[in-house]
Parts: sequence; C-alpha cells; structure tokens
Amino acid sequence: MTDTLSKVVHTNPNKASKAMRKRERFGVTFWIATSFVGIVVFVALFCQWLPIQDPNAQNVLAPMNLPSWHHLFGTDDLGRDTFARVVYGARVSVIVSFGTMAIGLLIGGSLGMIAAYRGGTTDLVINSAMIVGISYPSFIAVLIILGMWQPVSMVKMILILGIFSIPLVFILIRGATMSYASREFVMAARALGATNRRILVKEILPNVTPAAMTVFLLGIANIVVIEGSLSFLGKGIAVPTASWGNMLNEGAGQFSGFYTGFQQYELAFFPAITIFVYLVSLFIIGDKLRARYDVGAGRL
Amino acid sequence: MSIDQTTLPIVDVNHLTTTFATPRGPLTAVNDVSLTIQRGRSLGVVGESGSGKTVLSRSIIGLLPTFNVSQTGTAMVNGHQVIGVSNKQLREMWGSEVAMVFQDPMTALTPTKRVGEQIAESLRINLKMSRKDAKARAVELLRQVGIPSPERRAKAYPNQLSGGMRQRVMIAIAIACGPKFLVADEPTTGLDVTVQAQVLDLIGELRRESDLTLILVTHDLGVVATRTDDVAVMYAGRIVEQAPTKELFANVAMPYTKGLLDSTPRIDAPSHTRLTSIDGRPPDLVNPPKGCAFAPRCTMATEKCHEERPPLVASTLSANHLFACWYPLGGHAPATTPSEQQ
Ligand SMILES: Nc1ncnc2c1ncn2[C@@H]1O[C@H](COP(=O)(O)OP(=O)(O)OP(=O)(O)O)[C@@H](O)[C@H]1O
Ligand SMILES: [Mg+2]
Repeated sequence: MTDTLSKVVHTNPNKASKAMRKRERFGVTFWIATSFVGIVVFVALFCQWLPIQDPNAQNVLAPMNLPSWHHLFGTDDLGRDTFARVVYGARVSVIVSFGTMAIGLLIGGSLGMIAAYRGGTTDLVINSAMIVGISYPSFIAVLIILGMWQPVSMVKMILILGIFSIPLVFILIRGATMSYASREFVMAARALGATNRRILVKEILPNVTPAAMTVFLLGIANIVVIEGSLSFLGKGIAVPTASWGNMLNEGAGQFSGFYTGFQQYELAFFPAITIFVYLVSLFIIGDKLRARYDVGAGRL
Repeated sequence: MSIDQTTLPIVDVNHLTTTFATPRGPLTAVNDVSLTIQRGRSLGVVGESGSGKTVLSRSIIGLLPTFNVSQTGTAMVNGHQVIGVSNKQLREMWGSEVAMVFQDPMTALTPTKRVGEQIAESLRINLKMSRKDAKARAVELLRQVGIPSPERRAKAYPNQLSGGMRQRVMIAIAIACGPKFLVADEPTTGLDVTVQAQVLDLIGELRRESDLTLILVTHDLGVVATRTDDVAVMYAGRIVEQAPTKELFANVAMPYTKGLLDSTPRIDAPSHTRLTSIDGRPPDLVNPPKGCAFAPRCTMATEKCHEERPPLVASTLSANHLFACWYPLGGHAPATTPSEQQ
C-alpha cells in the first residue's frame, strides 16, 4: 500500500507525461486510414513496376465484365481492367493533389507567415492582393485557362491549381500565424537577439505546422474532387490516361446505357468508392494529427 | 572610452514617449519619462495595472512591436542609442548585454521546445557556441538557478514544469550570456508567496555575483521595499514619484503612492489593519484628463488639480525625492529650482 503510494508521489514528470501521451495515442482508425493512404501513395508512385495489368490494354472479348478473380474490379466498356485503371488513376490524383498543395503551401504558406509576422504595410499589401485573388470565381478561371492550354498534362494541372490555391492557403496560414506572431515567446526570442528569419523558422513554424498539416490534407482532398470535376467537364487530364476524375466521368456516361443491374454502375462505383475512402482517410488523419499536436499550444 | 562607459549611467532616458496607434486613436502608454540608473543599481518600477510599467521597461531596451508604435525622446543603454535605430542594431545588445525576464513564463517560453534547447539557443545566437557546448552550459545554468536534477529537466517541455521552475528557466535564459542590465517584468506574478520570495532572492543573488543593473517591475510595493535601491511610481504612463526606496517608504509625497501603500499588506502593521484599494479606475490613455491624471480619484484634489498638471519636481526635504503633486503629503514642498527631470 505504502509502496504504491510512494510510487504515485514520486513519479517524475517525464514518466507521467509519457503515460498521458499514451492515452492520447491515435487509435485504430488513424492507423487504418494512414495505411490506406500509404498504400494509395505507394501504388501511385510505383505502379509501373508492380504486377498490375496494363490499364490501357483493351480486350474486346471481355467488355463490361463483373468483378472476377482475373479482373478484381471487372472491366469497362472497352474491356480495360478497372482495377488497373483505379491504381493508375491514383497516380494522377495523388501527384496532382500533392504537387498542387506543395506549391500552395510553399508560396501561400510562406507569404502568410511573413505577412502575419511583419504586420503593418507588408501585411496590408500582401493581404489585399490575396483577397483580390480569392474573390472571383477561380474555378471558372481554371476551366478557361485549361481550355486554352490543351492538351492538359499533369505538370500544367499542378501549376495552375497550385497557383490558384495560393490565396486560400495564404489566408488560412496567415490566420494561424497571427495568433502566434504577437505571443510573448516571440518577444522573448527577439530579446535574445534572434533574427526575424530565425524567429519565423524556429519559433513560429513549429507552432503553425499543425495548422499547415490540416490545410495540406484538406487541400489534397479538395484537389482530388476538383480534378474529378474538371475531368467531368472534359477539361481534365487528356482521356486515355486514367485518373479517378475521368473514370467517374466515363462511368457516369454509362448510366444511360443499355446495360442493366450492377454492370451499369460498376464503372463509376469502384473509382467513387476509392475516392470516398481516400478522402475519409485523409480527414481522419488530419483531424487526429490536429487533436494530437495542437494541445500544447492550444492551451495557452 | 572604456572609462567613460563605466562612470556614465548604464541607463539614461530623456523625455521618452511611446505611443501606440490604436483603432480609437493614439494611445500614449509612456509619457515624457526621464530617468537614469547608475551601473550596478536597481530600480523598482511600481504602479497599478495599466500604468505603463511593461511598456516603459520594454521601451527602454527598444523591445516593442515592430509596427503601430511611435517613439520620441532618447534612451541610451550601456552606450547604445535605443530610439530610432534598426532592429539589427538593437540585436547586438539584446541577449548579450541586455536581457529580460518576462511576466508570464508559460507564454514567454516556446511551448514546442525543450527548455534546455531554449537556453542553448541564446548561447548559440550570442556566443556562437557549438550545439554540444551550449547544451552542456544550459544544464549548468539550470543548476545555477537552483533547479534540481538539471540534466533531466533540460529535456522537459515548459508545460511539464511547475510555475516556479518555469520562472527559473526564464531567468537562466536571461543570464545565459552574462548581461549587464536585466529587466525583470513582474517575475513573480502567479507564484505563491514562498516561491515568489525564492525567485526574487535568486535574482538578488545573481545581481550581487555579477554586478548586474536591474529594473524590477511589480505592482506590489512590498516586493520592492526590501529589494531595490530606488523606486519609480508610475501612473497613466508617467513617473509621478521617484526616490531612494528607504526614503519613499519613510515619507510618501503622493496621495496615489500612499493609496498603493495602503493596499499593500505589511508585516509590521497591526493584524487588524484593513487593506484598502484605491477607488475608481485609471484614466483612458487615449483621452487623458487635462490636469493631474490622478485628480478624478484623489480625495484631496482641488480645482487646480483638475485644471493644471503638476510637474515632477524635487522635494525641499531631499533632492533625490521627486514628486508630481500640487498638494504633497508629509511636509514635502517643491524645491525652488525645479529638477531637470521636469
Ligand atoms: N501593443 C499595444 N498596443 C496598444 N496598446 C498597448 C499595447 N501594449 C500596451 N498597451 C497599452 O498601454 C498601457 C500600459 O500597458 P502596460 O502593459 O505597460 O501596463 P502595466 O503597468 O505593465 O500593467 P500590468 O500590471 O497589468 O502588467 C495599457 O493601457 C495598454 O492597454
Ligand atoms: Mg505589465
């Protein structure tokens, strides 16, 4: 009895907090979500070298097959393997969404931090420019630009979506930085003689990282949907290349076809369910990460 | 040159005014303050909340927000001009010659970094120490400020330490590079009385060891009573009374200072003495009153107090005792030649 008591009294703060951390652990859902996203990213990057059928090989003898052992997700109207197309489609969706958000965060995020930290005129100028950048229908602008810049490649898509994502990322990161830029620990760092760059990178960035992470993941989810919408409107990645977006698009075209039953929906079903699970996973990861890493700073 | 440096006052402030641009208009947080501190001395700055203690102490070392601030007057600290110079120039003195202990260590320490790293950071910036040396020195500093098992504590995050330990960490950071001048802004707010005394004793010890000049900001007159050489009393952005500590406590001139004293618990007072606090609220610094800023709350105020602002003058009783009052207490009277501080 006294033994346990003394243990309780004398636990050192490090140990106690380790135990607390354990309780704050991520849980199964987080790990399932992470594994799924990990697999998607992995196959997206390495699909050429994986034992997967050619996504563009047509087999006139087997159009519109139901799922089978040979064609896990069945085949489409041209007899192409839907599973292979979903996997190769991930490539476009993943690379475009990560690339876009990388540009958005690098430029929009840095500008947001600088504007919030410097304040005054710097902030006024950048912020006004960004507000202009966000207050017209950018989706339509993207449509027009892509329409004029055919055929659409991944690089073009990343560039355009990336640039158009800058203002929104800017506004979110600027907001997150604002609450830290005027904190005492920034003043304290200045009092130590730290340079502005050092303060931005070493004091503010670690605190803004959870917010940036959330922006990144939500942004990715958004871009997947936008890429899909663009494909749906015929302004996405040029057609023979599979992307989740243009697969949905083609699948939707079959709804009015003469096939019946499950076959009618099969084309859109697998890409749709994959996108859905992917997005839900991203949201779960974003949410858990925020809950985990925001606590320390959020309490202040 | 070096002889000059040691005989000149380490802090020399003249007609310093700090104004913030606020949505309601310019807010003058520090108004025409002049003061000097000799090397190795300590000055207590007291006053009610919002009287401008923090802004004054930070203005003196140039540590203000980078925008929406304007300053006039001059301030020299350890031979450096402070007003109207760039951040880059100020950085040369910050951290190495001048350091600051902040009011609330929970917000002044970076929440995401281990305290050892935060101490090491100062050493790496100012003394260009290697990462390894800085780490070892950080542990040494933690030991010096009285933190038990410093090796382990160095690895803790701020929120894993108690309030008193956090404040010791702040002090370790401040003294890391051997500053000549330390500004401690209410270093004991939120700590219980015994820990308060320990932290203040620690600052006192460090001062004696390294001949540190100190500004100790507090709203508690009891704290400065035994720990600083001089006291400056602030109200509405101005110094309204200033004297060597003993003299001030022996014979207060300002009704405002008396009010502060009456609201400070005293050990020597009979136990049934009631603590009073000053009635009313401090003035709005965007629209300050025309006459004496304290007049609306002062029981002795007359027409003159409301109309005309009393200058800060030396007392006939002692040239070191300055006050800004038309009707001083305790037999004080303005000396015929007004002090240059006016
Ligand atoms: N960055 C700022 N912008 C605008 N007004 C400010 C700013 N900093 C301080 N002030 C104002 O300056 C005045 C003096 O504030 P200061 O923090 O110096 O008071 P204080 O005496 O330190 O009070 P406390 O005992 O509560 O710390 C207050 O009215 C405050 O609102
Ligand atoms: Mg203060």
